[in-house]
Amino acid sequence: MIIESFVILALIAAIFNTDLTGFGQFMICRPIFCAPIFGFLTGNIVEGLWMGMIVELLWINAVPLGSYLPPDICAISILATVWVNKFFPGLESASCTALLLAIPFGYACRNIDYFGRKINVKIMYWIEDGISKEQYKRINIGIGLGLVLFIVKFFIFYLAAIPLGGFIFDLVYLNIPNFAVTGFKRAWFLFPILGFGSTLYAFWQFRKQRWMGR
Amino acid sequence: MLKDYMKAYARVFFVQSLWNTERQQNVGLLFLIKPFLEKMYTDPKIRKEAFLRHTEFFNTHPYMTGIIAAFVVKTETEIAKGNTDLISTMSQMKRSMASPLAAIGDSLFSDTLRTAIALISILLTIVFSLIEPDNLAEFGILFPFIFLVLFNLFHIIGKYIFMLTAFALGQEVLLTLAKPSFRLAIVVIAVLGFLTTLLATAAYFIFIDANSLLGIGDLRNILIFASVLVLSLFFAKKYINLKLIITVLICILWGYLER
Repeated sequence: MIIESFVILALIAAIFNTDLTGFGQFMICRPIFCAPIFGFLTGNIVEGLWMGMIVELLWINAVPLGSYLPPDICAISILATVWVNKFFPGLESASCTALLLAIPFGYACRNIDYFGRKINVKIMYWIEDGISKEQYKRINIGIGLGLVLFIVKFFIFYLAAIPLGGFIFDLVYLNIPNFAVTGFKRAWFLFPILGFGSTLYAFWQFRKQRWMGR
Repeated sequence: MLKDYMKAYARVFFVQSLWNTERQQNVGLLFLIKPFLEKMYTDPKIRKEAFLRHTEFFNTHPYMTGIIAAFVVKTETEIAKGNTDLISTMSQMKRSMASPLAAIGDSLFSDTLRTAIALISILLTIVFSLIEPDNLAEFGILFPFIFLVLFNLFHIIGKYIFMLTAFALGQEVLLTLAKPSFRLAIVVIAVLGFLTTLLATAAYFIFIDANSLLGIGDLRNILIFASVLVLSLFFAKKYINLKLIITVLICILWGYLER
């Protein structure tokens, strides 16, 4: 492992996750990018490459649209990569287990994000009040506060999820019977096909709709 | 003026920093147009009114916000010159631009361009794993960066061009974006993405088969591969978690029967 500290990993993960909404949307939050980077940071880039590829394919059309928030796939891919590289690097069955275990954490992260957006309403009212008093600096301060809030909420999430989920993952994986381990390994190699199917369908439908002008 | 445009362009990246559940990107838009409004209005009372006008609900695709911001700045310039009739229509115009621009942004960036570039990166990863499996750890870091650089080339330049065009053309920029040539470009990207996915699927099958990763013979490999692909096509974009669970359960059952 290049970075052993959960705190540093959580901080980097929080910055990556902020890209999803808070700043830039440069797509560093997409699994195809963040999972290999975390694979590299935790000592096994190949693990990250496969994890990123699979999560990206499965949720290829998952982007926050308006008030719709899909499960946080950035969190899913980062957590699964870190757990596997920390406890059972190079084992496909472990990767599959980690991915499945990371999904509920992805939903939890989404809910935390939603909660943060509700807090932003209060900041928005504070800004509006400031405008009424001709204190326009509040707009800049509010944007800064919103950005800090994004990073802080994700940082706290990762700080809790990396060790807690890792502990659960370790416990679960060690108690999986042998036949299920073989099953998980096969499932791991079948996951990309599920993603390819969804992507083919999405492109086909999209092309058809656009071409027909619908 | 170019300095102001650049300032506004830099602010486009922060447009969702205070995304809130009630009025969504309203503060982001205010942050974007703030330097212009401060310059335009010297009378404190009128300036305050101008700022308050834009605290209302606002939301569009984050990559397209620059276009609406440019439209708002152009309209506010007219209002500052005395054309106060525009005040009553601005809100409606903003809303009527936001939805089509969000749809264009989704079609161009989220549904096609990003997906197609991600697929190119995935295809390269699979092909490299087939040809040079021992060097994947060494050169693997290149593939995510191919995705990032390629996508942001379009994203960063596209955002800039969209915004500058909107500053020049105003609301007419929508007509430019609705042109058949623009729509055709999106379809071409979608077709390329579709073909890349087909290639990636084929490359992945060769990868699975060549390494006997399912631990079974050729014909059964094809059968399993095809079955999962059909399952996925059948459920398509829905029930992702269910698809995963079904696949895992079938594989566990398969392992159990093989004991």
